[in-house]
Amino acid sequence: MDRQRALSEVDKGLSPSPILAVQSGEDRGIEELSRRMLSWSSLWFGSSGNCALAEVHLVRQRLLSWLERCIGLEARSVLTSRVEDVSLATSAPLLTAFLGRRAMRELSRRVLSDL
Amino acid sequence: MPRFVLWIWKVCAIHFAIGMAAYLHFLITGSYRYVTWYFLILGTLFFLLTTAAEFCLALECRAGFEADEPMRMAWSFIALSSLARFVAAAMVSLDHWRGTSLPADIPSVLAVVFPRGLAQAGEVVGGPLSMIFLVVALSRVLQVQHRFGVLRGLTRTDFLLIGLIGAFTVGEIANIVGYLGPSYPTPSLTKAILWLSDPLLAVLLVQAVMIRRSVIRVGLGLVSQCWEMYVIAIVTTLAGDASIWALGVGLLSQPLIVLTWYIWFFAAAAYASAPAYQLAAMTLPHIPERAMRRR
Repeated sequence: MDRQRALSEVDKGLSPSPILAVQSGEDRGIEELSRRMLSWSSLWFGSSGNCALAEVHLVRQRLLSWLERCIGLEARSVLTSRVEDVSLATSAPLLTAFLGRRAMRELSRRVLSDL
Repeated sequence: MPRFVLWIWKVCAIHFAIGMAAYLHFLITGSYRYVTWYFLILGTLFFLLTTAAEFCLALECRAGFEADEPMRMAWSFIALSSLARFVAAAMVSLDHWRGTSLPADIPSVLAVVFPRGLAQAGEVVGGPLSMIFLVVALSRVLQVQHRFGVLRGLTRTDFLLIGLIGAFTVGEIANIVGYLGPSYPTPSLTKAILWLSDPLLAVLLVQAVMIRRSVIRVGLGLVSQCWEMYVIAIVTTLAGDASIWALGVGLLSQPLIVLTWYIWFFAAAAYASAPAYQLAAMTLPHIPERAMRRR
């Protein structure tokens, strides 16, 4: 009896709760990472599916402003026929080609700041 | 307008105003005294200053691109082109002072140090050589523009202009071949190289037509204004070249001849403004938001 009680105590001590806690923590971490990845991918590609529409819109507006200032007022039309398609993915190659990688890194930082 | 561009055109405006005062003096009195001083001293200084500024700015633009980026090569050649024009301005002015004698008919020290024919060598360096560098640079720019679809949309007028320039170049080449015939003396190497100026200018003009179309397509921005400045510089160079031709065939009166000499200052200012625009575009993302709002 005593031995059984002792074993059940041991079982209690070896209960899976800490492992589960770690696993659920990992899951939350992966979920968070996946959410962030999707969010950044939405910002990068300009789709509003997995990201707040306001953020995508803000990034687009900032990019359009940089394109106009640095390249030309009609630079957007070179990239895409629709304003909604303007994103970091579509505009980065053109901006990098004419401003250089260093300036583009700084420009991307400015476009994505506070997001 | 970017700070450097503003400075370049302010200096150009002041320089031109002084030049106009000298020109007015020439018109009223008929004396070349002040006009000669103006072109020899202030004119030379202006060319040295603008070409040096262009060279430094082009080097800065080049430094903004990494080794594997295609525009780095374009800016390397633009820097070489401006360096060639700077060296040419220095050589031509040194040749002038070399030829100047001191009062008691003692030859200038420069006459001993520098060889004869410095001016002709300067013409080669500042003419065909600098043009070759610019042609290579602009070819690279057009290549990059084509890759990104910026170069689409050449109109019929563009093709007509390119056709006319092509016909003019063929005519020029035929003329050169004619001069190589047995009835003419064998030209010196310098002269032969200088003959390349017009065909090279024609190539630059074709490039300018194409760049202008791309500028119209992307609209006004810092980078497009940079290339627009090259178009202005090339067209101004053509105007200067045309005035030399008109002078050669006796189409211009004396006051007009003097007036055409001023064209080259605008070409130099346009050449210097181009990299200033590019540099402004490249440094803009590094400027804090507050400072940008203040501008």
